[in-house]
Amino acid sequence: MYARVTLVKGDPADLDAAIANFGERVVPAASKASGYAGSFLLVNR
Amino acid sequence: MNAAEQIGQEARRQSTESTGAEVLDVDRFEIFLADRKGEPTVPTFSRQTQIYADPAKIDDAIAFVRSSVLTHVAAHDGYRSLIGGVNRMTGRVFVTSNWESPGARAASDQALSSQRREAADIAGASSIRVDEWEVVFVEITPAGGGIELRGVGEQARSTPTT
Repeated sequence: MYARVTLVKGDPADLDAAIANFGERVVPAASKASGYAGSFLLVNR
Repeated sequence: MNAAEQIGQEARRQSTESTGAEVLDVDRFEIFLADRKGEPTVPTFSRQTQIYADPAKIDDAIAFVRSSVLTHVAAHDGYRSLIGGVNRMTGRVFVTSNWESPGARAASDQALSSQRREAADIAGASSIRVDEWEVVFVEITPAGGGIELRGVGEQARSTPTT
């Protein structure tokens, strides 16, 4: 398998919104790509 | 740029616009180890070790992680999974262990520090970076979860999982 890892930094107060955005928009878009194998989201609160 | 990279670029743009987050780093890895105990759940608690390996020593380091590190990590209470990736062009290697609780992660840390040091030595890495994370989202499709990689070299086996 092959992975793309993106590191982002934001305001901790916006973290829940960012998590929701990841699940509701980023993952559905990524999952449309051929060969998509999965997604993880790791956070430091 | 292939379709997956276009989607990634668009996802980064959309995420930064909607959340105000700043993209610090984007990298690509070959996943050389993906071991999991049980079904993926959230939250879990991760410890991620990163090194920059001597490109000539990457395969030796990978072999050590697959054999020794995996064996040691998986033996600890609260172990959930171990994932390793390498960028062979830059030598960047990450190994992420996942634990069922912060306590399990902490309890394993000291015992596994010698494994980190030995792996770094084998890889010719001069420094080790360790970060701790909370895993808040996991999705593994049949394409990603259907193959479990364990073992070393020719002993590696692919085991279908449900």
